[in-house]
Amino acid sequence: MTLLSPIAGLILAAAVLPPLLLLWFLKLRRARTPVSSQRLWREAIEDMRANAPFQRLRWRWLLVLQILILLLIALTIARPRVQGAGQAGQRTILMIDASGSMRATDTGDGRTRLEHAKDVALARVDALHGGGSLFADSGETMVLSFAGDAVVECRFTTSASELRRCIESIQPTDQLTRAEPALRLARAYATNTDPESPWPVGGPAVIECISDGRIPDLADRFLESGESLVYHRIGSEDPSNWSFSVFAADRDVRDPRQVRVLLGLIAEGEALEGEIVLRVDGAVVATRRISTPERPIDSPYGRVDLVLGPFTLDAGAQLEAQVLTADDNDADNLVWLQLPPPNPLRIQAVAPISDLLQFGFESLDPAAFDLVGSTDELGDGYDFAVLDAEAIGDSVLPEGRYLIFGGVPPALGITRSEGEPSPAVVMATEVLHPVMRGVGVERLEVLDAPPWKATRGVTELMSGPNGGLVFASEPAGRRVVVVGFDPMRSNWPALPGFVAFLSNAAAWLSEVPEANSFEPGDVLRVNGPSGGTATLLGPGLEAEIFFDLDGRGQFGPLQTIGRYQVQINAGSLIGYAVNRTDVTENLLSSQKVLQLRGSSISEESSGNTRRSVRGWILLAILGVLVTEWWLWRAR
Amino acid sequence: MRFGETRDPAPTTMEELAPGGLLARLSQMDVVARRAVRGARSGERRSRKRGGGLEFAEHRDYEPGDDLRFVDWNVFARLDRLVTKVFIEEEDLTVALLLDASASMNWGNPNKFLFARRLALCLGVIALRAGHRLRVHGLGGECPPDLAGLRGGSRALPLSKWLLDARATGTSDLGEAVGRVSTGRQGRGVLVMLSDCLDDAAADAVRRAASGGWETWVLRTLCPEELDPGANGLTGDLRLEDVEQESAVEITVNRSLLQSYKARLDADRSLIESEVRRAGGRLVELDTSHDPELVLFELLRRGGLLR
Repeated sequence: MTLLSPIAGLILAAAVLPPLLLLWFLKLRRARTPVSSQRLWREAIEDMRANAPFQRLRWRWLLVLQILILLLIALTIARPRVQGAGQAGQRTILMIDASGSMRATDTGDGRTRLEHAKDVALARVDALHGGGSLFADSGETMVLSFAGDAVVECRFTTSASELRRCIESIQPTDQLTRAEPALRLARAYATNTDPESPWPVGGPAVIECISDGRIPDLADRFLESGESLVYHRIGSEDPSNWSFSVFAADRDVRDPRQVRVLLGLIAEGEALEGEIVLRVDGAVVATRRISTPERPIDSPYGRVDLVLGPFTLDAGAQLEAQVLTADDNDADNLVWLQLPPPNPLRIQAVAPISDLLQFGFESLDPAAFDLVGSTDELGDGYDFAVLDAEAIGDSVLPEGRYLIFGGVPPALGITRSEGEPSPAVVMATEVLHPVMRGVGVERLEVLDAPPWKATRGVTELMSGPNGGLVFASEPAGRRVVVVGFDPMRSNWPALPGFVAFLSNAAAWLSEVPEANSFEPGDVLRVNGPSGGTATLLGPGLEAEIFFDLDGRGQFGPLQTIGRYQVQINAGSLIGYAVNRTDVTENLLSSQKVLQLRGSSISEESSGNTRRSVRGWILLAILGVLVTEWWLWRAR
Repeated sequence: MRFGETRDPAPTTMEELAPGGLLARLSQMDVVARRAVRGARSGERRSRKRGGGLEFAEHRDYEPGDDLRFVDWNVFARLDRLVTKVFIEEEDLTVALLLDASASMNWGNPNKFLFARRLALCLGVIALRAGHRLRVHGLGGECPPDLAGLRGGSRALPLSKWLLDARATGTSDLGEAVGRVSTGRQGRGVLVMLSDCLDDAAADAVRRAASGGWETWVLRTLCPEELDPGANGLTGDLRLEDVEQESAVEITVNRSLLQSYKARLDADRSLIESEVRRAGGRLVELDTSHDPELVLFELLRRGGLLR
């Protein structure tokens, strides 16, 4: 038997037993008995007192029974539990995995892992709160569902019906599994159950994790002092499953109408042979048989990579790839892609512009490169505009995409520090930014670089000794690349990296964000009319997106994979695809052990009905009370 | 049934007081006076008064005024010295029965007061049948007026009536009552005090009885609940309330307390016995559970009070 709160029981026993004994010494219920003379008795007592400073505690059944009652009460407060009957104590947190892998149906009865996890959770609620007030654990239970994020489905409560309702309302997601948000939330609630109290209340609760154990970030987490984690495993160890790891489409650089589709598939376990079907706007354009690949010895899965096409697609299209086979998770057998229309590069520039820059942009073979006289003449239909900072002056850039040379216009979050322009070399670069990929700047020298300083939200792509040299920023409604010095006052145009920089900047500035695919858990961000709304349609979903004054709206995190569409002001539908291609989440093999940093938690039988022994102790107390009453009456 | 509560019904007739023909079996018994006593009138008992009796007691020097008829001339002839023969004068024997009628006597099972009255009746009848003078005094309680000067077997009836009418209640000042009786003028003889001697003044009472010239017998009647309370149902946490006094004492019965009580009882017995012996008397402790015949024919006969 274990005690979840031994200190409380000890404190109670220490507090009440001495007073009880004292009361027995001081005050007894004595039966009135007439005697012929009390003289001899009085003398006898005086003799005893003369011989002993204290009256010895005599053996009395009533005293023994009362001590027994107090010890039982103390034992009850110490929350005894039969060893092997679980750890659910006064406060229990049921953490239910609702990630994508919990959609698997490898449980043998056609039901998903999540449904089984709910059954386990309901059984735990029955065990913790069933049996009425006598046998129910007096503690509270909380329900969390977790995937990419953690959601409090039910705060700490003693209501079994509320817990059941919350558990049954948990919906599956396609998100990745992350333990960190769930543990953080659980600990926050476990140590402060009173929202009115600014101080932590109570000790750690028992966390019961109901999951398939595929929690990658759990290995970086560790149990805190006094924390206990119980693992209820769901799912089988050897599922058979196909899933997608890659789904991408590329237009040919020379002929953007030609599209190739790249597919990557993961085969886990004894995945059966199947067929890949590629659909474009719902019509099948290609099929390919796939067979179980050989699995490397040290890998839990095998890979299949396919390139389908090329296909001629003159406009944007919805691509859909599907594995036609019977496996343990149908949910990951389908992926979508929103292919943007062909987008030939169209650039406009504000004159004057140096010949070197013009030459550099024309080398990108744009579909259009047009010059205008001033910023007021900039028109629509271009991917971005190239201009000199002097052409803007002190005015604020209108919404749009810009590549700016020779200075920094106002209101971009870039300020000029004190000091005069001075020669500079590149001290650091943000190589991970798309604009800086492959851009060598080792030999770049600037004759007079003003001391620019980036503020929050602005990425400093190149840094000199006195401040930033090149910046990238995405303020509201804009996407801007700023070169803070005049390239003609440097040797940059003569370096090979300059063309690469122009090419990357043009690609980044002409990028169509709407073409991006999303992963479950991402936030869908949409631009629209300031203060307006848009309608989002998704799998089993219809929601409204509100745009702020800057015209930015968002929805998320996205819970399920599928095809989403946004309609703004009854206009045309903009398509989005949400796919789960994370290999870790798509693997289904259930883990027997939860591996944490410094400890491992073995699975616990989920069918084990676990009850507190408090009810039996209360019954024992009642029995002792009845016995004591009987003895008292018998006297 | 509470501890010490009497189950016996109160007797209403002499037969109930001395059942089973007990009195009939006492006809051959007599009260023994171990010393010569002086009675008020001539009787069957040797007297301490020397003189006109038939039994020679001793010689003493002649003193002027002595009756010359009692001068032993043979001694004078041999010793040339006048001595007078002293005879023990035979006088009647007075038997005084002192019955403790305090409330403490009306307790126990068998009841101490009933036992004492039964014993008093037997002793009284024995004395009357033997021709002795009988006095009966109640110590405390609600008793009829003292009986005095009873003589002859026919006086057994008023004796029994007196005993039947006596009620043990209230308190008694044992010492004062015994002192009053023992210093009375009506002769000296055998004084039998029937009491539980649980009064604080029990030892003083014994002293007073003996100092009055009586051959004192203290028949201490104790019930089994007093002699061995542990074996007779006294247990638990109790508030002992004295039937004579308003005070109470709280006890928790355990082995050590019972041992201490017995030690106290033994000490009390020794104290009273020493007082009685110092005064020339005898103490006989009687258990009310004993058969009265056993008490009369064995204990008291062996003790020397009866023969």
